[in-house]
Amino acid sequence: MVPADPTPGPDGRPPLPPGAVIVEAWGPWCTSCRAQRPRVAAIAGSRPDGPSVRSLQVDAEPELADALGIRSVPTLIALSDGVEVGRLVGAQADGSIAELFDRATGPAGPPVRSAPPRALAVLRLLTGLLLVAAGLVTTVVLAAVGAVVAGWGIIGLVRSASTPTETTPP
Amino acid sequence: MVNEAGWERIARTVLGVALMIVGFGVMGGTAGTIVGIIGLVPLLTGLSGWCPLYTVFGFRTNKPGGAH
Repeated sequence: MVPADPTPGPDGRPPLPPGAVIVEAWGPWCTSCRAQRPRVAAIAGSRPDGPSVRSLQVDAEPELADALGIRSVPTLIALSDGVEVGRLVGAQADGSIAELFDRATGPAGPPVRSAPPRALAVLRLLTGLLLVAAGLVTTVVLAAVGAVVAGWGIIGLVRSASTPTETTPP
Repeated sequence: MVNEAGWERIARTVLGVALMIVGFGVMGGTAGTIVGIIGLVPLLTGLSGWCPLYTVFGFRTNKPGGAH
């Protein structure tokens, strides 16, 4: 549980506010972050009673980033009174971001997870199919592994398909 | 958490598939099974994008901004 103490830190930077918060972890060298930040701001603006957005530049606040378990950017974390209720890692479609905002203010439910990129899911599926084909003429072990990998890819494709199409960044 | 670059993930996947086909399909026997099982390692780390050894040693081949 992340502490929601409103007392400013030793460097004077604002800590995590209480209540519903979306922590937006980003880096100035991250092109995905720069593309996503305006969309996050737009979604926040469309929700005047929604969670507040706490911008976290990971280079400037490495301790807080580490405390939140942030290992890559962009990362969006939904907090409700200091309790993490959702996390999205990587560039996201507007629908996923909006769902995370709702998660921060709504009732608890299944955690929001980021879907894998479609290209990665297709790679898994094709690799699995290749192994299945090779296994059909060689050994069933290859086919079994291929089926598992193909299933992994199909699950990724389903999760990617359930995410609305990402809007073109400005 | 992804710590492999795209080129490395593809290379690992291809290597893993090749080792598994050679091990389980071409070689056969105990040696082939061992080779095939070894091939599982680069296959899974390539498809997942995460290498546990990289994590242990704090190493990565992708840029920090590239999640997934």
